[in-house]
Amino acid sequence: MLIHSQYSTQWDSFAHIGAMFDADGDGTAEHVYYNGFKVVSDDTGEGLYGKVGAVNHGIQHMAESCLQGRGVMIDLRTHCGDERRMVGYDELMAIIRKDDVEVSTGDLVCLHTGFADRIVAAATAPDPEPVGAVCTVLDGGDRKLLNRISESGLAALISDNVAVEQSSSVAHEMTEPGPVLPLHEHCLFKIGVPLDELWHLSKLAAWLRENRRSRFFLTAPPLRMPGAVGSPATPVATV
Amino acid sequence: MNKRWKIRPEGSNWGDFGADDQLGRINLLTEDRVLEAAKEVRTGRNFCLSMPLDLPGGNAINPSRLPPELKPVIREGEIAFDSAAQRGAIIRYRPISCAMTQC
Repeated sequence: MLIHSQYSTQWDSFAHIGAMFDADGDGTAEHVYYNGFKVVSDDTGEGLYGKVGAVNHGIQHMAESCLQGRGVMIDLRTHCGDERRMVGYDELMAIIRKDDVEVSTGDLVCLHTGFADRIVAAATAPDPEPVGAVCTVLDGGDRKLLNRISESGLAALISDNVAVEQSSSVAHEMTEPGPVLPLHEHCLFKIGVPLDELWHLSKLAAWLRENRRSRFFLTAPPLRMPGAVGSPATPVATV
Repeated sequence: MNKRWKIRPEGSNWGDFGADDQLGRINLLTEDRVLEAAKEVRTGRNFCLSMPLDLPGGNAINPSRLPPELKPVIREGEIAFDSAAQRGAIIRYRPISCAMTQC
């Protein structure tokens, strides 16, 4: 099977987004990743498999941890509907309070927007139409939101949309060059919070709402593929 | 002194889980927290949180990410999927299996 590791339901490793940053203090910014690592060899400038493959921060480390813990659902779709717009700190906190959701240190936080559900529905429709730019995304430019992610102690940020935050890739005009992704920079580069995208959360979110719960047991290892920057996953929630 | 960096980005937690750490906040999934998380299992019901991995379909959502392709096993120059060789193997297998159980 030949698979683009970030095509469908997936994990992003810390090798996905780095930054130009002067970590060695020599006055010149260099390309570094979480915890000061490089993802290519210092000696050869090559990856694990020539031009590709992260020599550090490959997804296999996440797989080896087995990735199991407490999942917490934040159900944006119920409150925001399927219109494409950004959700920032104030609205997110209001939803969390309204639904009595508690996020604790080490929680695997899932954001249900309905986007993956729309994709699955479109794929099985008799006259499928492009899903287009629908459902909510986080406002990665909201500093209060990024600070809250730091302070909450959450271990991973999971969503059923593309990119968790606003990006150009789910818009209709998708030929724009790469977007600035501040939430990616904050989570993957600064604080070591892996991101997960395009999970299918709708059935679980509906069950949790019916049963007045927001927490569940989550087992979600990526593939143990050395050097991969992302990975498909088949996550299992147990209630 | 950390061997990889002298300055860490403002607001980062570089080094907090060790100089060589590559797990970040995943380190917080300790044995105690897994045990605590398991208390959320009350009915035993499971949910698969993956889409079919051939969706979103095509490359409509992201032109640079392509859908999966299945690569077959090639046996004796032939694709080993519902092939004549495979069907032959199934047919050949049955009499042997019968013979074994009747012994």
